Amino acid sequence: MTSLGTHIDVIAENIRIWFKKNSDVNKYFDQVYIFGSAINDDGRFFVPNSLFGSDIDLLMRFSENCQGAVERAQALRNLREAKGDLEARICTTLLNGRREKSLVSVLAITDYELYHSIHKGFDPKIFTMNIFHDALTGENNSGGLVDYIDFAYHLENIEAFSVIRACQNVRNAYLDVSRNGESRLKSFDGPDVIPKEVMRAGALLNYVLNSPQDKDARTRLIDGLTFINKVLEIRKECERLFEILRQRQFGRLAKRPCLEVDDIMLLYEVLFDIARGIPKKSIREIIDGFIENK
Amino acid sequence: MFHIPHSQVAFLGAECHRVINAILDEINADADVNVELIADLTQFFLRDIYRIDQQQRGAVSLAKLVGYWAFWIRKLKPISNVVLRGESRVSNLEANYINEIVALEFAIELAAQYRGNGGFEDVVMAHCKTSGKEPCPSGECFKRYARFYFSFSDGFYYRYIIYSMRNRTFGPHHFALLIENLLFGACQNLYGGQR
Repeated sequence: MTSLGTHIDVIAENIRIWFKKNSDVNKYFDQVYIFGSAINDDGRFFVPNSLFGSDIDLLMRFSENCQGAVERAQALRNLREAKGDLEARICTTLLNGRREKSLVSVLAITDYELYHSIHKGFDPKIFTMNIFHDALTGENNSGGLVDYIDFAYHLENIEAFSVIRACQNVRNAYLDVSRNGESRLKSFDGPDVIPKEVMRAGALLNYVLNSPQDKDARTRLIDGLTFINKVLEIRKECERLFEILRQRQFGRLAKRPCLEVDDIMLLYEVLFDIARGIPKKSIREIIDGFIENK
Repeated sequence: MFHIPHSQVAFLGAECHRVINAILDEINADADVNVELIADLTQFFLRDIYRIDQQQRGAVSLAKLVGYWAFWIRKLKPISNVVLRGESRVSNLEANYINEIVALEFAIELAAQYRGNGGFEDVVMAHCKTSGKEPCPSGECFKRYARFYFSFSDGFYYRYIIYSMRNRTFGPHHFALLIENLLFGACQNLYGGQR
């Protein structure tokens, strides 16, 4: 087993080399932080090669030029392809190659999610209280990455944030590919047109945007599906995805196309963009805008 | 002290300090400015404005922003030991009201600066822009009008307000209303050019 403290340097060094080398990744992401058991308590509970198999948790922030659904989906696709190389590097140097399941768990996140402390596991304080080790500069952020959580803002925007969290979760699953190539996110070929979770996300957005008086609309899956169809239909960049959904809705096709994991990811990113457009700007954002402009 | 972003307290505190010093300079006054009180009043101001934002998300007015901030200057009085240097538009007697004077000037200065930046509700500006007339330069007309208002009839309104700020009930909403009225009065486009 690696001695305490040194493993973080090994991991960070591997990330630095890997990140610098991969222009397909570094053009879409600008920050990489190590957090979780590898860094908490000086890594005392980080046991990557045990039965429990600790993960290396990484937070990767999308860069500013990567703010649209299509760009983010592309960024994630690139990251998914490149992540195997990172895992292999760390496995070789840290574990003598012994590890079957995925070693690196990535929380891919936009600046907006970070700013508002939106976390897939409903733990906003993770961003204000946890230790984040900047893998690219070697700096430790022991007081988190943000200094404020507007809890009222979270409650006000509960539907939008719920969709954003769902997207964050799916990004994490999409990027989770074990060393033998098995993906945690599966392609979808169920009896429904799209997975129920996606319809639920669509229903939440439809409720907020189109039927705020109708509380039942929040959970009406058929409304979610209709909403998603409308959303895709008017987006040129989603033409292919819309066609897949259209075919999947037509029961008489001999072979319905399935939704590949890339399609599911893009679908969630499209919903993310809609959710992102719902909350009104808070005074905190306005003041920070002034600060930035100064 | 409160659950507010410390980065904003630091930035706005420094900004507040800078503007107060600029105002003191402009009225030819030397004084001590207590930075701890500036930090305190910035926190109180942010606490208030965050609370208002939760109630009026996306519609906090510019007048409220500057009114609440100026109120806390008037309330915590960070300026002391004022000495006027030679010629000053403030008399020795008025110098006793230095915190009130600076608070008022601060509100005017900030409202003029932040106008046109967007982000805060400014109904006057919104109507001015759609009046079909040449929109006035964002902060200038307001500042000019405020100066005229406060110097009118040998500073009658000015002295009345300064006196009330120190010796009468004068809350942040009084400040906000005063600024709203000045913003409205300053806009010639809204009054059909009748003035």
